[in-house]
Amino acid sequence: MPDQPLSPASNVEPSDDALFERYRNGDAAAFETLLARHQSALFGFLIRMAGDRALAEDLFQETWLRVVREARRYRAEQKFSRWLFTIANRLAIDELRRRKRWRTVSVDDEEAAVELPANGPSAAVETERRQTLSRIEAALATMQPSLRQVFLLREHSGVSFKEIAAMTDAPLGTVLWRMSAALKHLRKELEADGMME
Amino acid sequence: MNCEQANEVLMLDLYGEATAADVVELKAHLAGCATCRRIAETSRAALVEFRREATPRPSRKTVEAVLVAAQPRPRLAGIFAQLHPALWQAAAVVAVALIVSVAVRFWPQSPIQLAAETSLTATQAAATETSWDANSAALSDRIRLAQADVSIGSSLDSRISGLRDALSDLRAGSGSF
Ligand SMILES: [Zn+2]
Repeated sequence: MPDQPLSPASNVEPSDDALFERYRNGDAAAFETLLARHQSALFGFLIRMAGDRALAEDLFQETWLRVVREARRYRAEQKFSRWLFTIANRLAIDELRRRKRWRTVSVDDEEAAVELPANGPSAAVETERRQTLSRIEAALATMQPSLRQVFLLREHSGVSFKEIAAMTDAPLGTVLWRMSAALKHLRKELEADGMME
Repeated sequence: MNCEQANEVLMLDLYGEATAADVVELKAHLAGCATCRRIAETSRAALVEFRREATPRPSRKTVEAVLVAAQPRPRLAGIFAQLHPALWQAAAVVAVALIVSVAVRFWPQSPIQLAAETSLTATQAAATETSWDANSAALSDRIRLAQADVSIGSSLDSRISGLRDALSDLRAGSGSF
């Protein structure tokens, strides 16, 4: 049976900008949708940038508080996600500079709500998953912050390299070089365990 | 395209940001460069591994704290709209009382009030009050004279000049306060 075509309006999600505009006009539900839409990507970015769950929770909260506080200053010509991640990135970099420390992130604590396939992984798969995870964590922990920043921004925020160049005040060529260096670092870590053979 | 350029285009291509023309050139380079081909393959594999890992999520407590902080505050108009009519009446009474008190404070003052405010003695105040009465009486006389002028059909000019004189006299008199 062929798929029934949906009417164009029935499955169109409101854009981030439309939701944010509704929130600015007092619609709390629009904010909740916006938060649900971005929370995973934003928190993923922050916890991998900070390498510390408690710090990531603080940064996550502070990022959204800034969004709320500066809601009137937001202009729709700048993509919402870019604005959100610009705030988060700045907060994370400032905090890491202030603390001058770096800890290996562990997302396997009881607070981490990790999404697993519905049927559940077998024990072998689970062991392998944990090994890969710890390798990735190790790679991120030992990666230079400038490389980690570009890599995580591109992976989590969905903004283009060109936009990342603007967000990080670096030429596009530098951003692409950092991305390449970050991937090289990650490759090495994963190859060390024969995970990518 | 050299290896450095190929590497840049590869990064863009990994995220679908390379132009079609650049992708064609990249493929041509990779076909002839084993080093770059190996980098391209392992980079894609590393990203696949990275993306297989579930992204951790913030705690429920943190999310709830954000939602509470983000509750839109009612705007000024909204606050007024929510006021009970009784509160509106109370606000009106307060506003009227405020206007009256301000008006009384700045209204053209009688000599008694002036005396009180400038610490004049009661005698001085009484004397000034007398002088105020005298001036008022003089004005009344002038007005009466002007009215008399009207009654005997004198010109409008004389009536106006009569009133003007009366006023300037009063002004000269009040200067002595
Ligand atoms: Zn090459």
